[in-house]
Amino acid sequence: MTAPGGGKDGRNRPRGPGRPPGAAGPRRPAPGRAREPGAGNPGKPGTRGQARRGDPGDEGTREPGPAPGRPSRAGRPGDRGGEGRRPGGRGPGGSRPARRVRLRRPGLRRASPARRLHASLLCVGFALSLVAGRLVQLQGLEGASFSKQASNYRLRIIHIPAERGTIKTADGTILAMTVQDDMVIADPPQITGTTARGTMAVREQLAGLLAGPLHMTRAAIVGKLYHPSSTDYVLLAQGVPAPVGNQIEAVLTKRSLAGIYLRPTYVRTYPSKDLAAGLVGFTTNSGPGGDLRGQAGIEQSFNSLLAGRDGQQQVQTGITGQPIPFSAAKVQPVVPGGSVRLTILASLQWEAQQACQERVRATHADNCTIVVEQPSTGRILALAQYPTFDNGDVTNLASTVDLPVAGIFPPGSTAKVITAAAALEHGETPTTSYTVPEQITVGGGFTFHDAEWHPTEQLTLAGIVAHSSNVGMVQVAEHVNPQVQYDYYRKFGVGVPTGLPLPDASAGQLPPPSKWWGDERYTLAFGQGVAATAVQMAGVYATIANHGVRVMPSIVAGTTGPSGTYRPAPRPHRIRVIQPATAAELIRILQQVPYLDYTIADQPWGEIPGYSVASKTGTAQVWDQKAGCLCQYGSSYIGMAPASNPKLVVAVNIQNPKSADYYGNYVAGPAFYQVMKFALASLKIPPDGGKRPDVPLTAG
Amino acid sequence: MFLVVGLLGGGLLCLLIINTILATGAFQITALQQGNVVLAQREQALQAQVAAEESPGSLAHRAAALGMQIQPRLHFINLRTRRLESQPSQLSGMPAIPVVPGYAP
Repeated sequence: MTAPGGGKDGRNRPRGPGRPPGAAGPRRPAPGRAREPGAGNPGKPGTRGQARRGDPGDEGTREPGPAPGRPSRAGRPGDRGGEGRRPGGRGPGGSRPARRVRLRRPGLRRASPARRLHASLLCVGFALSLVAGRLVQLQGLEGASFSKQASNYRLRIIHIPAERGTIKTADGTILAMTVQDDMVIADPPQITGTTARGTMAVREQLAGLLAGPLHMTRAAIVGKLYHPSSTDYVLLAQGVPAPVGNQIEAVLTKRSLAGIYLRPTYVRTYPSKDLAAGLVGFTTNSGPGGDLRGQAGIEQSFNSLLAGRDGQQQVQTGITGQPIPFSAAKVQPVVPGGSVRLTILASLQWEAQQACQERVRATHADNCTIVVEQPSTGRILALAQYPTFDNGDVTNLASTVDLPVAGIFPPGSTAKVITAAAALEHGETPTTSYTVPEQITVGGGFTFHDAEWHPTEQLTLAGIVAHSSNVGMVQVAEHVNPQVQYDYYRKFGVGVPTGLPLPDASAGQLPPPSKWWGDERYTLAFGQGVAATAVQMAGVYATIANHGVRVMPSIVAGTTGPSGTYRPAPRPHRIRVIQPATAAELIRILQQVPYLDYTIADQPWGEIPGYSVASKTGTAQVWDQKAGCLCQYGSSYIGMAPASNPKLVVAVNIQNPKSADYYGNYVAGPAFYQVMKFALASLKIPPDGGKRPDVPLTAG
Repeated sequence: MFLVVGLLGGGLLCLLIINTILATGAFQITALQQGNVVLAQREQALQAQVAAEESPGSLAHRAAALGMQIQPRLHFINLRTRRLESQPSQLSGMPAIPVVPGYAP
């Protein structure tokens, strides 16, 4: 084409008007040559069309020839024009011979055009109706199911899990939180080589890569791969931190090793370990990657708030899984889990737990509980127990009992203040005198002893409470109507639900007077024949500390809802139980107890330099299930400080101490002193000087 | 005629550009979301670690290892008198405290 004679070469053009048509061939191809086989007038391309139209002789000679294109050419307007220019007589004469030729062919007779048209219309109509019918079937009748199949192919439902909220202490220490980690699963049939030896090599290599991050030995991993729990599933490790999981995934992808899968799971972690474990409770997982569900404590009672609600989103996705823009349709919005803030102070709680642990070990006791309460607000600042458990790894359900609210015990001498308060408000005074022998027989022949032998004494009511004389209290109870005594117990909160939002909170056991045994009014005077929880007993002393007004205890300071707004807990109910004067008298009496413990028993547990402390010891007899007798002890020490205006109440209870000295001051006193001193310092409560008012304990 | 062809062509071109940009955005979003997940996991892991370090048990343990002790006496500044008021170290007007292990007034 780039030859000098080529048609595209402009410089050659002026020279070539007389060129042979063969050179210009590509521009005017076949038609010209076909029509003019003879190529009769070379060198005159411009006149070719004129020659065709204006030369009837040429047409005439071709007419009889076997030219298939002829009939169609007859329809062309140009041709007709050509014919029109022909002389009149020759036109019809030229066309007649052609028809004759066709008619001569045998068996090819055309039907009438109308019938032919109808028949073809019917055929086409039938074919179209088939198509239309199929269309109706696909679009109309089965349309819904097909469009569903199509959308299933395109649409993907993304499950959006709601993260379970946190549980925090009042000072922000996290007690429970949710983290995502990975489960590492292997599919052994996918981890194979071509031969048994090759398989071994591949598995060894894989084990070598995984051993480090999973903290497992190579042999252990290979062993699991050769002995899977089912044919194509074996759990290699769980609780793998997400960053480690990502690292494993990157290594496996890099080496293109198949057969190891990571499945994300949500796990509840308790970063402060056993801190307030019984109060917080624990969660269980409904399955691998399933929902967490609270099974005890705050985790259970605030489960729906903490859990939130999972969401779902339906999206159209591309082949690599990325959502196609504007195709997303939210089906269900996710409601994130709320969080709970407790009234607990982390450091105080820890100190209380340490004290409990130390006392249980020192006295070989069954268990210990410590409750620290703020009397003016009812807030529980510490709720400790020992033994405790690890919320993250619950193996023994019995150990998960929230002892301070669920465990009930006879309060013993610490309950003497209740009957004393009733007596003080019904005619007695702190200086009312009683003759207290070592033992006494009352009413229907019931005999009561004091804990230790002593000569007959003249004690005031104050002295009876301070020295904790059972014989004295029996006499005090005789001045109190049984119904009144019962009412005071109830008003102080014993035998009444505490209202704490904890699933296993107990109301204690206090039978009504109609069901009392013969001597129950006397045993109630020194805290036997009744059972209360540690929180209830702390509440009794908090009522006295708060000038006779009982504030319902609270453990939850507030909650944060899904929207992120913090809602403080409602103000607790307040009930006046005793008159302020009675409360003040009781506090003055209780201030004698630490002094007596110190000076008589050489046990300075309630004394804190600079602070006045009002407290009460208690040593209850507890029913021993095995031996079937009242031969176990429950030792308690409950008190408040500073006594001039009490800001704190600490209640310690230790069950079944096996030390030689089982009295409340020796067993529980050290824990009281330790926790109270720590609480005063951490709450920055200034000392009040530690003055002890003079209250006559003996009469006469 | 040219106007119609021009409008149609222009419209088609615009649509193509918009679709391309959106698709690029979708890819970017997917990539960023994956990055976000990794970062969120790291944040969570670090948060758990901080919470564990912050827990009173671990603080007490670390403090004890450093030889720290709980301050045995409290001191307060009385803003009214502008005096330092200290908690006494001894019980006043009481007999000498017996030596009892674990008790230090």
